[in-house]
Amino acid sequence: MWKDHETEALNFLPIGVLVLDDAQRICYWNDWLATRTNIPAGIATGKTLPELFPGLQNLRLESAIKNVIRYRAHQMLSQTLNRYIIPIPLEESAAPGPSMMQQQAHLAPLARAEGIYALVSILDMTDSVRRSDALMAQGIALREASIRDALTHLYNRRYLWDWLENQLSQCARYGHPLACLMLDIDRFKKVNDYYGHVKGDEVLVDFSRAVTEHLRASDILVRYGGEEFVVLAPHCSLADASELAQRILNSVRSSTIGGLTAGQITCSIGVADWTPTRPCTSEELLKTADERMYQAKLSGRDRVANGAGSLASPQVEQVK
Amino acid sequence: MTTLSPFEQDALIEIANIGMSRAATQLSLLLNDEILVSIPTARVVEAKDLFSTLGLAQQEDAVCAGQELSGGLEGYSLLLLPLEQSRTLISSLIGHKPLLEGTDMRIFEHEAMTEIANIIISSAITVMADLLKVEIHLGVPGYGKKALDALFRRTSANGTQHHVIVLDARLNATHKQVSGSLVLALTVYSLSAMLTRLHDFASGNIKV
Repeated sequence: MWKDHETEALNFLPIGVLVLDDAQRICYWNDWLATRTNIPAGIATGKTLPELFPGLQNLRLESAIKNVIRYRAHQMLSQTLNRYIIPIPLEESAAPGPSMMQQQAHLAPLARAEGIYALVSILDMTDSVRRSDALMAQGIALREASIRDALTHLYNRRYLWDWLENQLSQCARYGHPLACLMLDIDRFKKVNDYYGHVKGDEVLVDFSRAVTEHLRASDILVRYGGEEFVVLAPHCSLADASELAQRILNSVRSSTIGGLTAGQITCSIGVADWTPTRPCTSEELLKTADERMYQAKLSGRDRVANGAGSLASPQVEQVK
Repeated sequence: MTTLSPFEQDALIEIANIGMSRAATQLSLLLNDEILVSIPTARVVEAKDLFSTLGLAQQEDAVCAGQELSGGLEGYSLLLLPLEQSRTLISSLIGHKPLLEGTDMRIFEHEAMTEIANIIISSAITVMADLLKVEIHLGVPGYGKKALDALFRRTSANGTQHHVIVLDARLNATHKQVSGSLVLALTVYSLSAMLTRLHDFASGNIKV
């Protein structure tokens, strides 16, 4: 099939090269493949790939070979969609990643006096896949860091605006409501001043956990500012959101938060909603919820305000 | 202005859809998912109007990959997807990988789009070769601007702009529908030869 100097040249190439005939039998197998697979050319020649690698069935490769030999149509098999063509296990590595050499293959028609063959060249893509995976992991970690609050791991204000813009577009399109709860821990400054900032941080973390327990998978909780939090609940009416707020209020009041006695930590909640009949912007929704939260504070704290008057809560011991 | 008669249009759509069913089988096997590909319409447009016909403002709004045609028909074949459609397709095909939004997708788009185009173009052209009894060879797959330049080179020989055949393609992958176009830019001689073969095929003058 090849002249000596051609074989020598193909054996020098830093890629795998094999040639298949119309019965998909190997007619040529270069040194690169022999070294990587531990299968010498003498053993590979005359066999099909499934004979050489029992269990290997690659219908895409078979079809590509047919297209090359029958129609002289160049074919490309990507690493992204195929992972590998020839199974070549990688040496054990401490780094996580693929267990098989990742490959990209190009198939070209090779005309010889006795007929058309498929010339398959195989590129080792493992290093670039590892690099791309590492970059991707780093990118995802950076993105997570940019949208999360470092202390509570809740979403931050930056994420809130993006999320809310998208959700309000969906609400407008499909005509469903969305509720917004603005929560503020009562007299949090006194907790910090009396117990110190470490205890204050514990309170914030426990508070976020206590609130999360009452949310659905589709709701999000955001740390909006120091001790201010926002719950956004799609498909939730003002009445349902007010009930949710009351449940959160009761739960916070009856929980041990930051190691403090139940009842020492309470919160005030303002509830607002977006409906197809009373649409508003993201900013207006947050502003209304914020104003109602202050209304709840002014009405005595530890209560919910939803624009229809504050819902009274039992008097409890507050942090002095 | 070259146009397709309803007769030629039906024949072309029929041939292209046979090719697409082959492409769908290959893509389904490759991706272990049910992929459907169909060509509902075909038309001839002036090459210079290609992007505006497809509703694209500029070349950068599309992702494309293609292959040179030689032998009995000479020209260039290109699969072209609007940028957002390409991202939808690639992310649904390689959804097991964590992907970032924006430019990071291009790493995957480039390679995967080239292979998807390779599968779709090969399937369409080989069926065309079989049914129209024309020997057509396909060159090395190219991607992006290189592919687009090759297509326009084929349609602007001698300083005159020519026509391209646009086959509107619909791909359904993991319950997402993606729309794109399979574009055939043929030399003047090949376009005329192909229309003659299509007419013969539709009239039953070519035995399958």
